[in-house]
Amino acid sequence: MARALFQQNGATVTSTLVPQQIEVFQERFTAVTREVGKRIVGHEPIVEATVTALLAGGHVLLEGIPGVGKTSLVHTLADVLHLKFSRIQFTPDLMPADIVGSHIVQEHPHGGGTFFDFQPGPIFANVVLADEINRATPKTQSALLEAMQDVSVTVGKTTFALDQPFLVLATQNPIEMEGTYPLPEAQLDRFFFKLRVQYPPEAAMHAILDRTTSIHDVVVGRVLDAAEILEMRQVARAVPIARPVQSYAVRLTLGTHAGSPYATPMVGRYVRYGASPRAAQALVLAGKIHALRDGRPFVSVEDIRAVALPALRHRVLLNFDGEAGQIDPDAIVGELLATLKAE
Amino acid sequence: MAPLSSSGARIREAVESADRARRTREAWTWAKKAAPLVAAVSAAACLTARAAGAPTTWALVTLLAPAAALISIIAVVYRPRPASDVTAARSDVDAGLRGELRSAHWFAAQESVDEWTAWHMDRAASTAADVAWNAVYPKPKLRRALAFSIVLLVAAVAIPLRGSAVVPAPAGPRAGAVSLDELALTNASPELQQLVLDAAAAVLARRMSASEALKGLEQSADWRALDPSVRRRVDEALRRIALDDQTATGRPAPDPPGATAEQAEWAREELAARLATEQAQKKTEPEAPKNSERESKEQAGATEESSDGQGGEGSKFKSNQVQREVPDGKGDPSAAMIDPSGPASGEAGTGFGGKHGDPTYRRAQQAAIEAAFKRELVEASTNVGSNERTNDRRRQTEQSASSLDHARTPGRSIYDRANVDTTATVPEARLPWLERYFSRTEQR
Repeated sequence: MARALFQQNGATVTSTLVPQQIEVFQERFTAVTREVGKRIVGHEPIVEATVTALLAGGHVLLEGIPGVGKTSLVHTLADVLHLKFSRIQFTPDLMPADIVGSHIVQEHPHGGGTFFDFQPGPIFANVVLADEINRATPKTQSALLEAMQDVSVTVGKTTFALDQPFLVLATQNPIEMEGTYPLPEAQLDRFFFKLRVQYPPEAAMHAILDRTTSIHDVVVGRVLDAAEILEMRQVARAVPIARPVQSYAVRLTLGTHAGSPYATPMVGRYVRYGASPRAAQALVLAGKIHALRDGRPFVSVEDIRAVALPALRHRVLLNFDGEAGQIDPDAIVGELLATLKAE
Repeated sequence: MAPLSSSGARIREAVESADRARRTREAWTWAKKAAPLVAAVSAAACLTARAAGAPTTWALVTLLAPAAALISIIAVVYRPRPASDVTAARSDVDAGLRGELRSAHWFAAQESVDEWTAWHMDRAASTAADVAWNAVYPKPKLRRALAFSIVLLVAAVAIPLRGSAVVPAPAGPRAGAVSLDELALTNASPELQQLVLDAAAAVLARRMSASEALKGLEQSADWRALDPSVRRRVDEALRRIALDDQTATGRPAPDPPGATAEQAEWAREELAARLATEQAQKKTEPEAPKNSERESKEQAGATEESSDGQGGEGSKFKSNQVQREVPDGKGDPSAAMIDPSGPASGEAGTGFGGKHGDPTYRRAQQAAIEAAFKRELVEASTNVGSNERTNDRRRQTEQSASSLDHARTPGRSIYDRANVDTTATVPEARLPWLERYFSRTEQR
């Protein structure tokens, strides 16, 4: 499909790159979700959002009751992506060194004394499953901060870069709160999306039983490697976004702050702190990927609205009234989406 | 890198086309709602104008003004406007383009774009070109509203045109209202003829009243030497001219100064009464020369004694006129009725005494009025469709006056306190007596 697109120095330049890139992006994205869907049933939106976060370079916090397939989803995704996968089961006695690694004393094989050798922890992987992350102490949870933000780990005086792509998939149980340590705001803000894994519907339950209780194991193929993921990341960032659409993302973010001109009554009453600029980044990046999934080379307001809930719900911090009234942040964001119109 | 100029132009053109189609639909929708209403208001205004007797031009203005306002509003709504991001977003939503046109329109206004943006704009231009904006913004069906509006507009046009028939026509040339033949002035001196014509022209031009014109004529010796009947005709003609002018223009005539509607009505009645008197005297008194001499004497007496209004029978009109214009009590009919020695058989309302209280005279006057009325009817029937506007006006005036007087005569011929319109005024000197009569002191 040759198209005349540019006039550069008086000459017409033809390009077929952009439509091809979009087409490839769509194919790869569809391939990943299709392969994950072979094993994970009834959670298509969760799968798509997880892949979106992966392609945006973000991390995902999965929240759901036990047994709905959170860990299985992460396992399957790691299998499909052909990436190095590690799992960390967070417990109260887990220490930061158990995550990032530590220096140990070793003897030279040929004699001559000992030396400190760094043994990397499970964080040195492409896909890290932080299972039940809220069961570890804040000290241990904070061990993930640098890795999630800077994709690097500092041990002692040495900083180790992590391999790209790097994706942290954390899970937490919202009902068993005893003996847990809620994630601090700084930790929460570093998650690109917060996804709520619900009970699968009845039809999906049948499919789950059929696939997991028979002798035939479901095998998923590896459809995407690290290089392809990084390439897709670059394609996603190249999607242009018009200023009016970006303005909508900004106003949506500012609307989560009490006292903002875009704030809704619920925001003013129940919100202590609103979303940070990371939220706006997440909205725009996720919107771009959402547009590419549909084969569009531009971002629309609808793309922003589609990704607003997972990008904002964990960044809206409730005040005392909100906590006491058990106000759902989704209701606050939903009201904001219903109120805020595109210019 | 610069995008193809055609992409941006195509996008802007698409947005403008969409905006134009949308505004066209809005304008037609608005016109569909407003046109019947405006037409109805115009028709109602024309109908009201016709009922009020307003000129045809006014009714047409009431028709044209709303139509012009409607057209102006439609023109304002439909005027070309530069495409904006807001209009692009609106058209994008209406056409279901999922934000592509809106985004591309914003990038079309940027100076430099990258490869992705250029392709986005090219794609958006192609997509927008495929959109049938007239299908996105279909025009509303106007058949029923248009038909209704046209019917009302035709009615609005027809009403003032029909209404012009009932609008009083402007007064025609009135210079010929006075002719020397009619006034029997052909035998008078040329100076007097010219004087009378000048006076008539002055009254017609409203430069002076009829009374003022007559006063001016009285200063002429030729006028004073003229036959009284001729002078009376001139008097009547001048007053008629003034009355015609008042009727035609709708403005009160300046004659007499400070005249009221009641006085004008009385003048018409007086005119009819004088005509009737002439007719009756012709029938009952065949001796014309004596009558003529007597009238001459009466006229002279009236001229001499008109200042106090206490003249004899021959000056009754003049004295009555003085009583009406200056109700100073001397001619107060109620005072005459209260006085036991006064003419109690006279008319209570008008204060007519003397021979007006005589039943024989009243009957003769009534017969004369009837005869005059019949004569006028015959004249009117023979002059149907004629252009003698002045005669027609006079006839109509005298008919109405005579019929009015005819109806009043039987009821007022006999004095009855119950028929008295106004309460008799109690003289100042008798008030203490009345108070003592009605307010008796308590007897102990």
